[in-house]
Amino acid sequence: MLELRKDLFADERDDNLKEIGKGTQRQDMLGHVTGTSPYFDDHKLQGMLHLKVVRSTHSHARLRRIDTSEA
Amino acid sequence: MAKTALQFRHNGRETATFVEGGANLLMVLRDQIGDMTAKFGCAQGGCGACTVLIDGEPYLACLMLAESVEGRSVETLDGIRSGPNLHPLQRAFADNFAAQCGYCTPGMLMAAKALLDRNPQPSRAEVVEAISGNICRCTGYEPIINAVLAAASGGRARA
Repeated sequence: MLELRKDLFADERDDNLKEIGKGTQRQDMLGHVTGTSPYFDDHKLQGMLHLKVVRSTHSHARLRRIDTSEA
Repeated sequence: MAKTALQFRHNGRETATFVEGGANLLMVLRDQIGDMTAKFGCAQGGCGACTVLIDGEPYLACLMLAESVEGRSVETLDGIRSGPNLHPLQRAFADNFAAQCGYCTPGMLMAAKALLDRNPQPSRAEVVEAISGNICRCTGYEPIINAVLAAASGGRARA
């Protein structure tokens, strides 16, 4: 654990406090070091839909229809 | 697209699956085997979040053709600890606040494990070199380097 500077504000410090002034482990640390913390891409749901943005190849044009056959 | 049979050792277990031609190892691990410990970061070999060990050497799973690990041994963060006990590196990362958002951590740990497996007492410069392919946006690297050195010396961080 990191060393805490006990000499700073020594005269103001109450050593009997449970949390303040004590090193503590973050509650998400175990998940982080075991790779089990769930991030956005780690969720796989039943029937999950996927989205892809397809941009126009024309800078100024009228949209008449969308061909979704490949999707 | 035609699928190819693929067999390899995944964290010590013989694993068999069918992969699309051109599929990368990261997608096979995450989507087909369900091992989410290797992270999807940039998918172009820049960030190191997907680092896994292949026959003990660190590789970027996002750039590795899945078919090229046929018959080889792939180790991910999921296989690093023995039962309920954290690997010394995992313990050291936790104790030295070497993870903040945690996204780079699996890749960092695998890169660090590859280093310690071949060099149990690395210098600070060797640690920096070993994790040079892994980007961390949170910690500024110092706690990570301290954690790897702490794991190497079996406990407390060296100043």
